[in-house]
Amino acid sequence: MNHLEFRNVSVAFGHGPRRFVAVDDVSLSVPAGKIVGLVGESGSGKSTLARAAVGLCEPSAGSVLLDGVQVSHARGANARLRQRIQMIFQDPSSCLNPKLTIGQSVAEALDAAAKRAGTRTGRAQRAAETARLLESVQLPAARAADLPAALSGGQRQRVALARALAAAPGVILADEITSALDVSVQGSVLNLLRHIQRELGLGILFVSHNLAVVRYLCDEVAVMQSGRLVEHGETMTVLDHPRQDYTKTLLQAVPRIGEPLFAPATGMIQISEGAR
Amino acid sequence: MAARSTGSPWRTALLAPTGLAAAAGLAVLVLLVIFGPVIWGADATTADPLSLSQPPGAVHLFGTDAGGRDVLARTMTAARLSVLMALAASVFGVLCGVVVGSLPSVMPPRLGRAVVSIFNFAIAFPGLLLTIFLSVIFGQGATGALFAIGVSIIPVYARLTHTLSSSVGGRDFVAAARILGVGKVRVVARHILPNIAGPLIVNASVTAGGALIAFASLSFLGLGVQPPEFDWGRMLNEGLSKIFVNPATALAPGIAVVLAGIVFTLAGETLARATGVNPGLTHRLPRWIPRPALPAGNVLDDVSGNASGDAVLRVRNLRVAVPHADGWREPVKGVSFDVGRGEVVGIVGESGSGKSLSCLSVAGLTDFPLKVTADTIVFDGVETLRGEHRPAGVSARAVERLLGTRMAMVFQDPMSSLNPSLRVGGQVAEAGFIHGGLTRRQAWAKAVRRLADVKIPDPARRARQHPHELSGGMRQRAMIAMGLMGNPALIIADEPTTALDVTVQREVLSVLHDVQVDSAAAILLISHDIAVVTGLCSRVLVMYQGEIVEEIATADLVAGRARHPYTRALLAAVPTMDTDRSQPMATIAEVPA
Repeated sequence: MNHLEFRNVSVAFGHGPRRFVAVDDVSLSVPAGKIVGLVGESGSGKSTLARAAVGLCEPSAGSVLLDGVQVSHARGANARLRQRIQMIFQDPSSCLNPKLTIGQSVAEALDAAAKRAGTRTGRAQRAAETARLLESVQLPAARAADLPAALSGGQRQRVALARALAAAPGVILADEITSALDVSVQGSVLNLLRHIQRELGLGILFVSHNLAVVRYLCDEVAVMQSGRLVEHGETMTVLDHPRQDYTKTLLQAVPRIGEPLFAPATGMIQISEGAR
Repeated sequence: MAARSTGSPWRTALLAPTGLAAAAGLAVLVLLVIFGPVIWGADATTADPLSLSQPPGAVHLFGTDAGGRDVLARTMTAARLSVLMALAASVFGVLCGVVVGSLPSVMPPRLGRAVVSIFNFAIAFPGLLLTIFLSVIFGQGATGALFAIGVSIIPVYARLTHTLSSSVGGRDFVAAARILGVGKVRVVARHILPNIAGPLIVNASVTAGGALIAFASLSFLGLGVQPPEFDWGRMLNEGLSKIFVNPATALAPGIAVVLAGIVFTLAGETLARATGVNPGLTHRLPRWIPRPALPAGNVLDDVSGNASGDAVLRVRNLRVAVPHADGWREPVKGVSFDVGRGEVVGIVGESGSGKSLSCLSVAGLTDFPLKVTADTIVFDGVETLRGEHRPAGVSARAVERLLGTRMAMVFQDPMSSLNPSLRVGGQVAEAGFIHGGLTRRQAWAKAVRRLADVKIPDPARRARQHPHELSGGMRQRAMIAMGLMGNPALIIADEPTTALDVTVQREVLSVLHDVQVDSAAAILLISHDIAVVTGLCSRVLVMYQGEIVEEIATADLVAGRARHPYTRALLAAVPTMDTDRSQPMATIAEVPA
């Protein structure tokens, strides 16, 4: 049971005339064991929604629920429950503390999970668990002693995934996690995420602007525009039969391999007189 | 650029002239602090009534003071008190400053803001004024002065710590720690402070120099060290009354203060270089082995381009070398290609494949210490590079003008390629009055027309705005407009739409496309997005680890007729709107860096 639910969530920044509503009354559910894709253009509020789930910003209205328990604005036990929602970020160069070895970064998450469960882990047990997690994201356990600078971007994203897994999560929020990676590396990260998700039955909210990636990975797709959720449904239904004009526009704008982007000339441009 | 012949930055920093001077100076200071009073202590306090206020001579190198004590001995003895007091004040001030500066990260936001405004308010006072004010409160004497100086350092350090923490605090690993429920104090201690320690330590040594001078100032004013104890400031005070009789008594401690201050600053500079806070200017490059001179005349023509004869750009055996600790490495290893007039050519490849570096070299935009060599680069009928240099008979000015008017560049991030403090119109117009011989007014008018050409609505108003007032897509179109100020024969677009949304991407690409059709300029489009490249280009160059591994017509690439395994793997790794969802994604093994 790891069901994440956004109930009428709004997130606003600033006050008075400078108040800006980034997320406007969004209700969305990420069922246990499902991958929900969240697409939209930059500034549509999709990342803000994800950040509101983990408490990096709090909803100004509405609530975030995990298995029916309100975790937004929570303290005490409910705040600890919120730690079952973990997040992976876009930028591989900033996701790990450059001064800690990757083993230390993963161990920190293990400690957090242990503290939540009220148990204590010994040094040896922690090292063994770190090694197991690194291997589960296809990194040799010996790399635990490395600093992030010694890793490639794709490897760092995998460490970030291992750290999230170390916290014994029920739901993972993946915010544009492959946007900064090369396509070749992107493939391996996607495969890994899918493999782990199936193995652990995690719910994942996969935030991305790349429709092809979302189509490949996700069971459901939600489309955001200017802070509002405009369309939500089963992936192939939404992508093959979009109901909203905005979704259609997004789909049409995706360049496809082998399709010329333009007819010979759109003819709208006239280079004005001058040096020509 | 990490261009050092030795592995350790510490060694490099120490062996530089600054480092050597700092090390020598620190060694002398340490010796003086430890042994100064032992060696000269007796002389310094022994009053000789027979030689009061002696001028410099053989017995007393800097003469004697009004009490008949040897000035040199006193200066050497005073080193211990002067240096230790300055260090104690700095350590106190820096430590307290770091603690106070970290408070806002730990406190509730409202309380944190209050703390920030308090130390910002304290900074508004001139440093010395604050110190004197505090020393009056704390009372005369060495201890009072120590705390006065220490406390006046706190706000400066608090602000520095706060500013640095805020920038580190916004990074994702701090967010990840907060999500894990790591406590605020622990986040500061484990994630923030270690990442700002470098600049803090560097500044601390400069602060110590400042504290030394502040201490001397207080003692000089009579607020610091009291007789019979003495430090350099106290000696200055005593010497000044006799400055016309015996200048040496004031000169010796003065010189000591200046030298010690310089040593602290040099030590700070060395630390900065060693920790990479402030990279030094001295690079020792590995030895460069020049390539053999090329025979004059025609260069071998071995590229199968469909741009036969009339190529706008011809590149043969282009190599780019980057200095590393163990010698030169070549991220571009002998690249040859042609771009025909009006042709649209794409370059695809992963990051680090050398695609951007190749194009920057063609445009002459690489900087020291990179070395660019080629058998030949011919652009628009003019040879711009042969071997390591411009060919004889081609002036630097001519090449500059040619590249400035006939070649246009569009980069990935329009926010960083436009100057944020200048109006868009002026930046677009620049090429017009630098290379086009126009007056500023004419250039501005032409810039507005070009902005209209790239479909920027209300161009006259937009031209008067600053880059941050334009959307990402508009900024990128302004960059294209800048290229159109000349009469470009080639537009090099380096990932022009990577930072943009798909809908905006299409607008920008359509402008590029129309420009190409209407002005017959060729386009060299660098992108990691194969769909964009195949959608716009007629021919594709595939780069891998610094080489062009395949050159293929778009039609062949799309039809699956790629020959090189890397090209096929790259194509298979791209998720498309038709990818089989039940199969794992195709991947390419990562190449160890």
